[in-house]
Amino acid sequence: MPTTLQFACDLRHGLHARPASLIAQIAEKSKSRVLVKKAGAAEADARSVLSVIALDIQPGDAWEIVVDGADAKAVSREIESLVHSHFGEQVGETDQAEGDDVPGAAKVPAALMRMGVAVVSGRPASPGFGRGRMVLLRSGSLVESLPERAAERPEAEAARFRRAVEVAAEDLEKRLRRASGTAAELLTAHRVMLTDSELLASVEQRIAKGASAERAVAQAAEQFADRLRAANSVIIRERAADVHDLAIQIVAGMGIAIGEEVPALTEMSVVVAESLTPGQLLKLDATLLAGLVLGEVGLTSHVVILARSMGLPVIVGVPGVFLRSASAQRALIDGTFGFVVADPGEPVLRLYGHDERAQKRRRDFLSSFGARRGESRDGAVLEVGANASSDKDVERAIANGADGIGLFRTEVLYLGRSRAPREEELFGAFAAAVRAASGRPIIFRTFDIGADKPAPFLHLPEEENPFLGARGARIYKRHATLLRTQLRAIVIASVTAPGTVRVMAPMITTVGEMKWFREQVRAVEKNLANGGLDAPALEVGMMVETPAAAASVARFAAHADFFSMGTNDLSQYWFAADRGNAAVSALADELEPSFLRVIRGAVRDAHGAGKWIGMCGEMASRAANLPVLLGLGLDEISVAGQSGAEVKYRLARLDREECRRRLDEVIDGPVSIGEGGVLSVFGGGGADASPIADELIELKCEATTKEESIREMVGILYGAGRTDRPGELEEDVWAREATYSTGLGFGFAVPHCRTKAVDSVCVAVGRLAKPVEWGSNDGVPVRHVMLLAVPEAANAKAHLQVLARLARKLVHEEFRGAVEKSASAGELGKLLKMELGL
Amino acid sequence: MKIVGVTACPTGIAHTYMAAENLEKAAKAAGHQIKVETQGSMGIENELTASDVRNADVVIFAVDIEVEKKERFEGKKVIKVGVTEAIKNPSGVLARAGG
Repeated sequence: MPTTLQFACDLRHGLHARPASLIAQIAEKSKSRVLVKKAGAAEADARSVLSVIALDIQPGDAWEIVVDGADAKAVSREIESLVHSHFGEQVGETDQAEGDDVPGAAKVPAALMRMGVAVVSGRPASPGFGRGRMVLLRSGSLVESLPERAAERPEAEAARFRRAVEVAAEDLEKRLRRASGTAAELLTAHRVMLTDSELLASVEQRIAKGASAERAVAQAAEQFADRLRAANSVIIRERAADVHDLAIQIVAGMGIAIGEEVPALTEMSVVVAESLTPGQLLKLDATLLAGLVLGEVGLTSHVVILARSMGLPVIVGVPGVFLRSASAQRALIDGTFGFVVADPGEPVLRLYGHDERAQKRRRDFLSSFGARRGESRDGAVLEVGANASSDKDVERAIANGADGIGLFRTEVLYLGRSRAPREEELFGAFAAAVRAASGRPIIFRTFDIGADKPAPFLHLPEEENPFLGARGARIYKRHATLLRTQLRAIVIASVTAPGTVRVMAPMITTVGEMKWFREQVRAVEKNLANGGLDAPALEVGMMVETPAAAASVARFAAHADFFSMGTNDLSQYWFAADRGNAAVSALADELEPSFLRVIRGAVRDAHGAGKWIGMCGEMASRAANLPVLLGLGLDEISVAGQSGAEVKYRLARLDREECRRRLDEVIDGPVSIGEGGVLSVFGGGGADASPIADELIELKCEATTKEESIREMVGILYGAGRTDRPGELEEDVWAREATYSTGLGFGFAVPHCRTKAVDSVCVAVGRLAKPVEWGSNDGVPVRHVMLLAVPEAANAKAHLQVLARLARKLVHEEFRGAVEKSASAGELGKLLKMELGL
Repeated sequence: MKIVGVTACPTGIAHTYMAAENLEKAAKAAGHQIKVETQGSMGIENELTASDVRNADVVIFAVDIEVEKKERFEGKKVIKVGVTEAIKNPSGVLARAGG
């Protein structure tokens, strides 16, 4: 008697690849036949991820699971609890951070509209701009691009196919070991598809009917890709590209190269294509790639995510007419606003030339902070580490100004594997990471497996509630050998290069667990020392992820050398709210005073016991949270991505005592927290910097038009780290300019605006080599531009007074004369500061 | 002559203060007494009191937006100009006010 389970889909992206593969894993090891059905429509074998996602089950759709067989009861219970846990769906930390930068619809900047430039609009998919020669890439059918070859006997073709799958799987494993972040996620998705039962069956059937192995693969893949392309869900349509990609890899395993031809780039290029596979993107010479102009490709497609992680500007949804007719013209792509200009003329190139200079200014400016230690304005040290999963991540993080690695995730080496990794493999990965850290401290977190991070070879029992189950350190005693193997690899790796290696355990709840963990580390060290290894004892720390640990840090201090707050899990447990469940995720607000109180308490307890304490959750990665983190008194933060230098720059502008005072007001109250949330209490992020500074003054401006000079002034603010969103700032300046000209007369102009794009009042001052027409009352072209940017939520009255005084000064001839006569930025800076009482 | 004025521009960042400064400068040069209230990004500053208004011969509004607390000026002679007018030609504005 089959068991039928009925559900309504509540996943934000529908039943997409990840949840489907979790169901497939259960179906795979069961003895029953498991079907996924969409109400009133087709059904699919649950073991085939591709068939399940092709059902296109959308949010709100009714769907069913039918289990028929010996273990139907157990299997259906397991699936039911999986569905009720929403498949552990959670918002990834990089996606969220990047998602903030991606505006929805295309816009044309006011400057280009004023200049009358013709643009082709798409949707902005990855910010930044680039220019180069357009290179058109046509995507053809897989089957058509196969070389002619007569099929041999079906058995021979089938063997050929199986070998090719093995080769492709090995190749994937190899690439997966080297990959990290987004690229690793992509490859993991490919690994799941490579074992898809229906895809394999479809290929085998075609071979049985006499097709050659490569033709069978190409046909089966195209058929699946077509089914996926017909889905309503964008996220599922985009998987078609992955199937296409996978077929190419399998066929490559037969020694046949198809479909992946990419042109060899010979100069800076803008690649134009209806669609592009991640594989193709990786094959293009990244050093010559200026941007991607694509057709109907989704904002969440793998190719776009990959391009974003490469910092490559991308626009999507560009009309087919343009995509097909683009010739080898030059083009300029703006991925922030979402348009492309074919054959940009001199004026457009000059405008964007200012952006290039601004980017260089910013790199130079920030790199000076990366080289220093993280320190606040009042001299409080906050170590700025980075999160990493591979030696490549470590290398990039250090190059971008991180003080060390505050979280090296080791579970990547275990997830989705059918066998445990061997010690040599682990050692290789860890030693490479230690080398890449080039002398800076690195914290290895021992494997964090369970709940949403499955490792099939461990055969962990199914649980009603995996997030409250056996995960992290809780599985260590049962898998002590696995832990010791990892610890051996870490200890041996620690002596391969200079630097401080630390180790920490995830999900510690009791003092006993921590004591046991520390004993394991010491035992492994002793064992290795007996074997002749001369390694200093590792510092052993723990993640603070459970409320139980957070509330009694002092008791753990006897067994832990340091602590790291894992706020992702701690907040879910604290608020009893699943962060992946849209219905309740808002409850898990890391800035809620009760949560801040717990963290503050943990920090105080750690310090009371003479131990240092850091934070490695997403909370630490959000730039806006920095004043809170500083106020909490943390010793270290470990952030996602490559923003070390930038975080240190922001830090240098904050005052810890001020942040601490405001935080205490928030926690101990009564402070009413308004619409702007907790952060607004910190006053524009608590950032403080003089509105006038030498690095904001440029006496050799190259702008030749009003449009250019506004862009150049905005570039000065961007270059000095005063804004992260120059495009938005520029639009706000133009919006104000539309009411009436900001030309004062006498060759002076004061463009200005209130804007969300700055967090403190600032003034960019420029002297133009060639005066430009500004529409001033007296008709005199402008030679001196002062761009005033005021944060929308400005409450730093002292800074606003500086602007008011500056405005008043400007109506006096003597003051203007002194500005005109200043011979250097330093001299002008001094004059302004003196006159404005700074 | 005793003059009081109010300046206010859309963003309250620059023109409000330039207009106030220019009116003060021109009035002093012409030998008038003047007090100008600014309604800008910092709110109302140099606020005109009831006696300031009562004793004034004329009120100048150099504004591009609505004047706040307008009721204070009921019954007074008011000259209204745009902010840029007061910046470009403050003496002309004073002349219109009877100065």
